[in-house]
Amino acid sequence: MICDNCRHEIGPEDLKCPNCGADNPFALQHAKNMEEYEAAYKETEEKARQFAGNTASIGKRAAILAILLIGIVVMLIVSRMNYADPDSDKAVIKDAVKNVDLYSDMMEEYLENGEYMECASFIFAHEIKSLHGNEYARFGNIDFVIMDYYECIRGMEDIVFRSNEADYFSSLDTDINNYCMYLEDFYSTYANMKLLESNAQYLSYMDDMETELRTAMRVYFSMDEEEIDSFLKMTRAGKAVKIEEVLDNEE
Amino acid sequence: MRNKYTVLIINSLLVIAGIAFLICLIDMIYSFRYRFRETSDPSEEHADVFEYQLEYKAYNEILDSYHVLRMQDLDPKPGFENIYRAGAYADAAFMVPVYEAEHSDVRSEKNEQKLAVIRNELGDHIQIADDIDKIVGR
Repeated sequence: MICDNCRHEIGPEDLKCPNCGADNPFALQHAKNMEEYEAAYKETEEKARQFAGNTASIGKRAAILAILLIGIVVMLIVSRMNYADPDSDKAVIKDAVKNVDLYSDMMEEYLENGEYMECASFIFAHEIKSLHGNEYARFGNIDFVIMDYYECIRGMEDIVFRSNEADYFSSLDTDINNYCMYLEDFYSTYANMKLLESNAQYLSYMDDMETELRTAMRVYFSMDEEEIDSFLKMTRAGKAVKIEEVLDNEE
Repeated sequence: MRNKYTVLIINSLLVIAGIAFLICLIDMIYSFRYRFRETSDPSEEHADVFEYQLEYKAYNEILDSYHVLRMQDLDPKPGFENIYRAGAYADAAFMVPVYEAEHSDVRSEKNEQKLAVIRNELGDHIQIADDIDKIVGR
């Protein structure tokens, strides 16, 4: 570069001419620009550092949040396991599904031997009634009849084995009403399931259960076949009155 | 500005998660207390009720207990043997006159065998079998 004042050669970074001492406007402008660039650089650097710091802080918080959420999930699972009933129906149903062949054979055996009460208890204990639509579908119709037969026999047992002690609470009226209700349920189910059932063997079991109920009425309520027919046609209240009459006559 | 909102949201979530964490922790502690709680022996309670029912010859109530218990377990749990024996005897005895009236010899014979076995198992409670036989006219 050439000095404007003395025409002496000067370097581009010389702020003043080494010969005459005049200012070098180019170098001065350059130095000013450099100062501005430096300041801008420092400001940007500061912002960048601040942003990085903030991001790190968010990351830490997010990590803590994730740990808390995982902890919550783990604690919920542990609590649920602690509150769970170890002998829940789920386990029983799972067992019934697993042993479908064995349990089906056992039910067939109960039916073949006419052990309908045992069969009903078996169905309840193994939650088989909840699997009618699936694994135990073939028992779907007869199970309903067995259940109602079971309730009828239980109702009759309640009446027959009642306590005759004077100072013991008597639930005879309720027992008679319940029995009459169960009997109506049985005959309604029996009629419907006979229409739906196609297996001849199961149909014969249904008839057998109906015969047993009639025989039990004959034996315990001293009715003949004709009386049973007219008894079954009565209203529920009428049935209850009839049984009360029978029991009064016994005493 | 954007960071400020993000931090605010995360802080709020942290507070909520912290509260939820504490609640779950307390619930988990209680769940362990529930799991290892001391429970009364149901067989003792049933034994008392059974003796009371026997005293009044309320065999219908014993049968009810038997049927309800069998809905859960076909075989008796320890302490429930007497209820199961008495219930099974009454249940089988109930069918004796029914099978006789139907002339079902096979069922009748099988039922009698069952009754004989239970009668032998009744031990001190043999009176139950006698009472029940009397009721069904056996």
